[in-house]
This record gives sequence, C-alpha cells and structure tokens, in this order.
Amino acid sequence: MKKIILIVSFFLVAGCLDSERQPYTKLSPLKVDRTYFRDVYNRYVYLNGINVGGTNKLPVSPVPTADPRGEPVSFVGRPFPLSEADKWFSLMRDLGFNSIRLVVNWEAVEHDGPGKFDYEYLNYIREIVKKANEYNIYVLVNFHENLFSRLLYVNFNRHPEFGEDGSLEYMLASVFPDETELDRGRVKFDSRTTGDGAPRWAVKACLPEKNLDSKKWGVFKILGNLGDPFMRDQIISNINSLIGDSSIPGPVPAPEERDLSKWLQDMVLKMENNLKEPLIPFDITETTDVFPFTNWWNNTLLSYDINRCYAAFFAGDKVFPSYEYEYPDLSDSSGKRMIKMNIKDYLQTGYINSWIKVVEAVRDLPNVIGYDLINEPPGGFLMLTIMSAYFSSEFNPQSVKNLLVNIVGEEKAEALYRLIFLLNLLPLFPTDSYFEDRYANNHKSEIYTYADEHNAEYQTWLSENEEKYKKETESMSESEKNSFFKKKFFIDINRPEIENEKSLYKKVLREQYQADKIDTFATLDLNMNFVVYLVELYKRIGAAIQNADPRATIWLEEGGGALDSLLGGTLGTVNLYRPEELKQVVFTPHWYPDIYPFFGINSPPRDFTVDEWRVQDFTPYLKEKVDAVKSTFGLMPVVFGEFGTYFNYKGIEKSIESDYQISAEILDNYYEGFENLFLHRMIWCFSANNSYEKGDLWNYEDFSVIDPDGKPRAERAFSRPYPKFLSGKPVSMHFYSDYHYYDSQKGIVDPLREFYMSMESKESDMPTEIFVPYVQYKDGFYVFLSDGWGTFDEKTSTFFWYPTDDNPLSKHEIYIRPVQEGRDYSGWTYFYKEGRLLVGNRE
Amino acid sequence: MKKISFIIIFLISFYTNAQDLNEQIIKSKRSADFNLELLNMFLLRNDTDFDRTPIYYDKFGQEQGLLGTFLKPMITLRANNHLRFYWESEIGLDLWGRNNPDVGLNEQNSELALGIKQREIYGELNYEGFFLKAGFQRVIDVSTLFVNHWIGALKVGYDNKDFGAFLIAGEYPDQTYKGWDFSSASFNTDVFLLGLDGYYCIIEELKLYTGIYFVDDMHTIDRRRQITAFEGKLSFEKYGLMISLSGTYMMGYRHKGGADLKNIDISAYGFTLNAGYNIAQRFVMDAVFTYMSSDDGFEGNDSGAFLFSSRRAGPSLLLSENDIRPIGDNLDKRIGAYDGVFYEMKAGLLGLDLGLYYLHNFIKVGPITGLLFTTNSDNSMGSNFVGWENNLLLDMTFFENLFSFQLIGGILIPGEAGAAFINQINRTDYTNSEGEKISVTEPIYYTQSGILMRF
Repeated sequence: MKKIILIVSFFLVAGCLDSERQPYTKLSPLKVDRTYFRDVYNRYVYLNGINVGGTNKLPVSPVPTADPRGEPVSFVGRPFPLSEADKWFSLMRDLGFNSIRLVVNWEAVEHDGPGKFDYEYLNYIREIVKKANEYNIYVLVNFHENLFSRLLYVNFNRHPEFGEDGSLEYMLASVFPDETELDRGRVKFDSRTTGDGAPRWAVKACLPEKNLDSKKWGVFKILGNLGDPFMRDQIISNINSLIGDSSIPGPVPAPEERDLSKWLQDMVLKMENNLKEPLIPFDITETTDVFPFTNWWNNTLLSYDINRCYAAFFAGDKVFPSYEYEYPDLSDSSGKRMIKMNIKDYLQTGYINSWIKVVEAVRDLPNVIGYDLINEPPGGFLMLTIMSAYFSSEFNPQSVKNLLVNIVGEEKAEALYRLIFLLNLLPLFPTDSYFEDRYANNHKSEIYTYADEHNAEYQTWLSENEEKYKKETESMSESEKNSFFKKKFFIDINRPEIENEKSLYKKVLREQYQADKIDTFATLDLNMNFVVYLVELYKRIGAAIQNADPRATIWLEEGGGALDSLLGGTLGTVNLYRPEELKQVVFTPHWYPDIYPFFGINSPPRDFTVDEWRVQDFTPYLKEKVDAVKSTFGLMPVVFGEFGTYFNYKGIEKSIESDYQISAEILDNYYEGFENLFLHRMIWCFSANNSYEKGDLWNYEDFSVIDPDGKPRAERAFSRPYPKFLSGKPVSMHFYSDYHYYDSQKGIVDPLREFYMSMESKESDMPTEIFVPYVQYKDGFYVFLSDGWGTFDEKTSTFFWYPTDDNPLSKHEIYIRPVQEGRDYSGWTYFYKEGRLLVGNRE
Repeated sequence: MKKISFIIIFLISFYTNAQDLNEQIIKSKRSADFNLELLNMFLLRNDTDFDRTPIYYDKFGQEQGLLGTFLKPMITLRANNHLRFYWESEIGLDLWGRNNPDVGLNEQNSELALGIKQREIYGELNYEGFFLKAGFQRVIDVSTLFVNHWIGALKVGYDNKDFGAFLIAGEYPDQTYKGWDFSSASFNTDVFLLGLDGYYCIIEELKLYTGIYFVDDMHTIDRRRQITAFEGKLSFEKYGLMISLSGTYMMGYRHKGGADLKNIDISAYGFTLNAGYNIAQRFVMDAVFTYMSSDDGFEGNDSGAFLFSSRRAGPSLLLSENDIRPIGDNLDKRIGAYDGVFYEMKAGLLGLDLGLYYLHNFIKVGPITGLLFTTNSDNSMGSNFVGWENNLLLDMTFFENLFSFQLIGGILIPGEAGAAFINQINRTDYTNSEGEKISVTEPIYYTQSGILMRF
C-alpha cells in the first residue's frame, strides 16, 4: 500500500525521507578470543579506558584528611555521588573513553569486621555500573590497594618552616609537626603519605603488636627515637651525614647555612616541653614505619610493617605460622559460628568474600568486562628479609650487608645498605656506651657513694685501669678525673646488670618487631618465589569469581617491586605464569616508565622540560613487554590497565600557564606507543573531586585528566580518535596529535591529527565504530574509506563504518584528516563539519 | 525468473518470423562503412578549484591545461538490408605532453600513453519494424537522467514511427572484485537492467514517451539494491520550437542499507524541461532546466537522493557534461556521490542552462549561461549555490560537418556549495594560520577549443 501511495504521488512527493535509523550501539558482554576481545556480534573490541577514580582510595567518611581511627567508614560516593553520575559519565563519553577501570577496594566492602559487608556500598557500585552502561561504557572492576591499607600512613607537613623548598633540610623538616602550632602547644600535620586497600581489622591481624588507637599513630617513627636523649645524637649524626651524600639516588641539595642540628634540638625540646602530653618519646608499636616518600611506592620495599602485611596476605601460613584468627562461617545463618584459620586464610577469605559480594552485585550487567583481582601486587619483601636476618644475627648490621650482596650484587648492595642505614630503617640497637651511660644515669646518686664505700676495691681497680683511660682523661682536671673513674668503676662492677638490661632491651625490641613470630626461611622463600604465591592467590580468587559468574573474565596484574626501582630504575616487575585452571584471562600490566620522582620526601614532581619528552618512542619497550607476556602466558589480551602522569610539573601554576604541555607531551608519547602496537589502554585517572593543592587527595598525586573545575586538561593528548569496535581483525593504527614529533626535514606535509586504521577481512556485518573527537577536528574532518559507507553520530562523536568488500584478501582502511592548509584531499569519502555532511565518491 | 521468461518470449517471437527473414536476406546487398572522428583539443583553466591555497609539494600546480588528440574509429557492416554490425572505439586517450614514441620499449620510464576504449559493439537486426540489437551499446532511458550508460544489452522491440515499444535487458560493467578466469565469474555481484519503454505520437508534433526500468544492483555483496524507475516524457516540436518535459520517479530498497542493518527504502524523483527555439535559421535558443530530489542530512536511513546517470543535457561547459569531449569534471556530477553505477545526489540538484546563438553560414556564435544549485543545503555545508557559469561560444562548421572548429571561454563564479564539493583544501570559510580570511569562492577562468575532423 505504501508503494502505491508513492506511485500516485509521482512528481508530487518530497524526496526527503526522514525516518530515523540509529546504529546499534548497546554494549554486549565481551569474550576473550586469543589476544582479542570480541562482542556478541563478533566484532573486535578495542578498549580505551580510564581509571575511575583517583580519589576512590579513600572513603567519603571519615573525610580523607581526618584521622581514620574509630569513625564509621563509608565509600558510598566514591568515585562520585550517583546524582552526579550522568554528568561525569557523559563527560567521559565525550572525551572518548569507552571503558573504565572502576577502583573498588576491600575496605569499602568489608570495613566493619570480618564477614560484615557494606550492602549500601555494593548497591551503589551496581548503580554506578548500570549508569556507565547507559553511556556505553564498559566496566572493569578492580580491587585496588597500595601499601596494603590506608591505616598504614605517616603524617608530614607540606610547608615546613625550615629549609628552602626542595632542599634536603626542607624534606627532613617536613616530618616534624608544624612549628608554629607546636609553639602554641598543639600538634598539627597537614599532609599524609598513606596506602589504601585493606580494612582496619586486617591490618590489626597482620600487626597484632601495634596500637592503632595510639595518639602517636602516623607520627614519623624516628621522632619517637629522638625522644630518647641517648639516641638523639646518633640520629642527628645520621641525618647530618645524609647531606651531600652522593651515593643516595636522586637529587641531593647542597647543605644550608642554618644549623640543622640546632633546629632539630629545638624541635625536640618543643615536642617534649610545649605540649600537655609530650609527643615523644614513643616506640614503634605506637606508629608505623612508613616514610613520607613522595614516591610512596618506595615504602612497599622499605617498610617492614607493609612487608609484614603483604607477607601475611600472600604467605601468612608460612611466614607467621603462629598467627591464627577466627572468621565467621558465612553459611551459618545465625552468624555466630566461627572458623579458626591461619592468617593467610583469614585475610584471603575476607578478600575473596568481598570480591564475591561485588561480583554478585554486578555480574548480570552487560557492560562488565572483567575483574582485576589485585592492584600492583608487590613482590619485593626486602625489609622483611633484611629484618629477619638482622634479628637472627642478634642485631648485626653486617648480616644485612651480606644478605644484600647475595640478593643484588656487591655494587648495588653498598648503595642500598647505605640508604637503609642512613634512613634508620633498621631498628637502632644502642652501643655498649649507651647502656653504660643509661645505667649510670639511672644510678647517679649511687656512683660516688659506692666507690667511697668500696674504696679498697676501687683503688685496686684504678691501678689496673688508669692507664687504659689515659688518653680520655689527660685534659681533665683532677676532680673531673675523679668523677670519671668512679663512674667507670661503678659500671664495671655492675656489668652483669647492664648486660641484663641489654638483653632485656633486645627482648623488647624483638617483641616490638614480632621478630620471634617470623619464619626466616619462609621469608626468603617468599622473596625468591613470590610469583608462586601470587599465582596461587590468583587461582583461588579467580576460581571463586568464575564460580559466582561463569562468564567472568579474570584480569591479572604482574607483581611489582624489583629492587631496581629503589635505585632510580623503572618499576620492577615479576613475570607470571599462566594459571591454567582459569578460563578467560587477560593480562593487565601498568606503565609508568619514568615519571615518578626519585628519592625524596615532600618533593615536587620530577622537573622535566618539554624537549625531554618531545621525542620519546616507547614502542620497543612496550613490544618487549608484550612479547615477554606471550612467552610466559601464551595468547591472551594485554591491556595496559594504568599509565598516566602528573599534571603539576614545575608547579601547578606554571603547568596551567603552559596548558599542561609537559604532561600532554608525556601522555602523547604513551598513547602513540600503545597505538603503534594496537594495545588496549586505560589511563590513570579520572577524579571528580580533586583539588589543585592535594591533587587526587591521595599522596599528592595529581594525575586526574580533569581539573578541579571538572574541565579536561591536556585534552588533545588523550581525547584521540580510535576504533571502539572493529568489524575486522585489527592490523594497525596511528594518530598524530598536536604533540606528535614531526621531522620537518622530510619535506612533506606534517600529517597533523591524521588518524589511520586498517583491518583484515571483515568478520561482522555490524559497523566498525570510530570515536572522532570534536577537540581534534573543530574545523571539520575528512573520512577516507577503502570500501563501504559510513555515518557520523554527533551525539556520541562516533563514525559508524560499514565495510562492504567481502574479498577475504582485502584490507579495510580508514583515514580521518582535519582541514589543513596545503594538504591534498583527493579521494575523500565524507566531509563533516558542524553537523553537516558532504558525501564524496564512495567507491 | 523474470529474466528466463523474457528470453523464452523473445525466442518464440523470433521463430515465427524466421522463414520470411531468410528470403529477405537472399535479396539484400552487402556494404561496409569505415568512419573516423579526429579531435584535437586544447583546454586551459586558471585553477582546478575555487580556493587559491596551494597544495604543498604538488608538482602539478593549480593551473590545468591539456593538448591532446582523440581518434574515434567507427565501422558499420551491413550483411543485407536487415543485418547491421557496428563498432565504435576511441583511441589515443593521451595528451601530447605524455605520448613519446621515441622512448625505447625497454626503458623503465617510458610511459605507455596509448589508450583504447571500446565504446560500442553490437549487431542489429531489422525486419518490418521489429528489431533486435545485441551487444555492448549505449542505453538511454526516457528522461536521460537515470539510465544513460554504455552497457552490454539486448534490446528488442517494434517501431513504426508512430508507435514504438522496446524491451531492454542488460548488464552493467562489473564493479565488484572477482577472479580473472571464467570459472570464478558469476552473476552474484553484477548489476542488471531490465526496461520497457516506448513512445506514441499523439499528433505528428506531440509525442508521449513512457518507460519503466528496473535495476538490480548487487555490486556490493549483501547490500543488494533494487530500483524501479517510472518515467514519462512529453515532447512538442513545430515551427522551430522544441519543448519537452520529462520526469522520473524511482523507488526501491537497499538490503541492510540502514545504520541498524535493516533494509532502507529509496524514493526519489527528478525532472527536466528542455526548450529550443530556432528563428529562421538565424537565432537559436537552447534552454535546459533540471531538478533532482535530495536526501536528508543523515546517512543510514531511508534515502530520497536521486540516482543520477551523470549525463545531464545542457550547453554549459563546466556545470554539465563537456560537449567537445567529456572529461568527467562536470560539476553536476561532482556534487553527487559515485555509488557503483549511479551518482547519488544527496544534496539534490537544480540546474538551468541557457544558450543564445546567432547563426550565419558556417558560424555559430553566442553567449551561454548556466546556474547550478543543490536542493538541500544540509548536505552541501549550509549553502545551495553551486556556481554561475558564463561563456562565449564560437563554432564554425565546414564541408557539411566534416570539419568543425569550436572555441569557448568564460568565467565560473562559484558559490559556497560549489566550494564545499570542489575545493581541495578549504571547503568552507577559512582563516589561515596568519589569521587571514581566505576566500573559498574564487572564480575560475577558462578557455577551450577543439578541431574536429570527420573522415
């Protein structure tokens, strides 16, 4: 009937038929096919993702700056409140992200105690994932952690009143309380280096000797030692020797004129006397041994507390065989039945149960692409091993040195040892004179009376020992000599008692460090064979997840933590092997080649110039990494789950002034590397509630691609054209952004903002979908197609390409080019500008 | 199935007349004609587009010019009064600047400039008004807008000057990759034409033409397009006046042509009005008005774009096909999108050509003007105006058309729609890196001449 009407209206009807047809764009679950992701339409899927978000590491309550002790915890609202989800997801879509790595953590799910889950949070997560689906954004769920837990932290002052900004003195002064506030009788720190991940109860289980409720919790551990007058000099001496030490990696500023020792002495006095309740001394059980390193990662290797937590998590049954806890039997409806287990099972059971709760919350949603089991599992247990050796050798530093030589070789061992010694990482074991002086000090009133009362013995002792102390006493007056020898006599007479005190000190120290709970051989095994422990964990979590969600894709990260990272090298990694028991598996390494600062406390990001980054090709390094995966893992997709950069190089003001050029250059090089190898990528990060002062609210990392006003920054570096779906097998692609290095000597037009992609013979009738960001093509863009036709959807900035050449030998190619003076555009298929379309020759 | 029925009907009709035919053949005479058309052509334009921005490192520059020779041999063989064979080809699609016979055969850089294009080759049978024409030939529909191509075809029909009816079945040159050897050839990716048209003289001066054409386009695998076009034309010719109005309405679908991979409907129309007036063999007017429907501004939904053969009659030089020798740069074609056999006029077309000539003996001289618009500015970057062409023509003919010389020159004032389609670099308003506003509608000046000799 419709056709008859059309015939009747011959010459009369308008030619335009406006029936709307939209490309089919709903997301479907992905499956893993060799090294690819495929959707239900058999299209290849390319992931251009972003981590959401940087602030998820910390709960909404208590507020991140508040002291975390005791207050109810909630992560509902991280990454952003549901009421803001439309705003942020539409921004992410507009920027071109087709996937997110949703940062969830164990504490968010199970913060109130073993087996007590936060269902409000789980429901919130489900709603967030659903909302992402409305914007055609895939979601990878990641259980995030760094430095084990946010309960492991150290406070510091961002702007200390001593030393020049960036100097070593400034760094050291940062760990003291604010001087002005101290003068007013208050202790105040405005900053913190912290971890994230595990709940408080898990930390308590790993560090049973610690008093997490102590008011000293989070105060830099060495301040506690400064409270001991006998150790103060030793510490100050160590600190002084740091200045100008060229063996320490990273920039070491020249010494200043002001007397650091005097300032330290003043601060110690203030901490002792200006407060109602003196801040110092305190021992290590009242705080952590975390350092406020700007490159917080160094704590993974250098914190004994953090090492112990991870060791308990990965291998607690072996390293801490005596630690046992009870976890509730979740199958018991009364909730009262408890199951006793070793600490590893205790922690892993909680971790897995939390995972399952998250999986159950989101498993039926079509846009869930997998579960990333654990973030950057740290594989270096340096401090645990060193301390274990140190305790075994009865506090002999030489044993540490010998161990380091065995692990990293003589040259690196020397530098490492010096670092460990100067940072006072080993628990200070006092010298004999310390014990003698302390004993004498404690028995001041008895010293002279004892010699007088035992004059005969004293005179005999004097005749035997006077010569021995001749050098020390030659400049003394007679009365001074007299006092000196009487004190020495008193000490010698009471030496057995002093030895007893020494032994007692050792015993206390061992208890404070749980030295007797550690199986030294197990720590060695964990250090050498971490990968075995990691893969076993992966199998355990992965099997539990795939049991709860049979279509689940399991994403595995490599272990990090080689010692090289301490010595200024790149983030070290530990190669995995494939857990064969798991079905769909994806490998997801991270990529931070060299943007992190060297060793330093409260130091600014590394000082790069634009030229340093203008020409950087990471392709060979990435290829090497991917090839290594093939040889150890076999065929599986590789997705770089994290990479990114600081946005405050040279200070946030200068960075803004230059339109974040250094950050943009760095990101562009990363993106080009990934594109050269057609590698999936997920940038770190998107923070909806960051600030210029505190970055992503966590360890002063300022990595968010949007600024605190919600505006994208360095957008032209990361909002790039790319194929979201491909109807044929991906072959190659490139995009030359404004930051691409172009050699003008070649004598051809700069291929500015050219996007190219090619595919092998098509395997799906569904369209290839290419994101074409407006920010790259404000003056319109040309599309060149090897075959087929396409349509552009402005709302989603997506070009839908329907290749039509079915010859199996054909290569399908697409170019997208901007309007650029001087370029030859012959052969274009489409031209789009401001919602208008021009169609050229399609064939 | 339709194709098979058609062949059977044809064979039956052919058989009934076969006996008479044999007798006529015996009585007829054989003949052979060999003709040549030799064209020497000169063309010069100051730019290829309307934007003066140079393309970097473009060795060809922006000026355009050619000097060339084209030879068209034509052979007609008559076996008798009823059977005719015709062959037409074109040789020498080269330019003087390229063809160098002095280059050694084995020299790597010797460019083979000789080109041969076979245009028509067919056999024709005529018998008392019935005829059959088989072979590669030019097929033109009633309106000339939709089917106007060189294709392999079989045409049968009846024509007695007052009435004619013709059935056409043909196959377009293949557009789709297939193997070279015969075994891999098939009909699976071909484009077929089936048409039925005819005319009727209402009175001697007034003729009515009608036609229906069906195109089955399978050149894109799994995207079959089937179009049926209904056409009509009314023409009147008397006292030196010739006027005709013709139109086409086409409808059909494209398989999985939508963005949602569902079939899409095609519905489009176009018409053309031709008028010619010759006053006492002194003054001649030639006017052509053409309209074609457009599509909306979205790809992937139903289409209202006219499917254009790319051959629009009109005296203009650049807006319509070049009359001396088509070189494929006519703007009415370039504002369409080549899609296999046809040009899809997404932006539509509205064109008016007008020529006024003075005739004296062997001379024809006069101005030509032409206007071209799109009919949907959404598909031409917000503007409809493609261009305004103004020419002066001098045409001299000697020896009863055996020798002719034509000189034409003029100016094309482009519009923004024209710039959008034609410009190589800046299709819309453009501000360069120095902040200067660059005009994208600079006029083109041109001249062209041809010496045509027929032998």
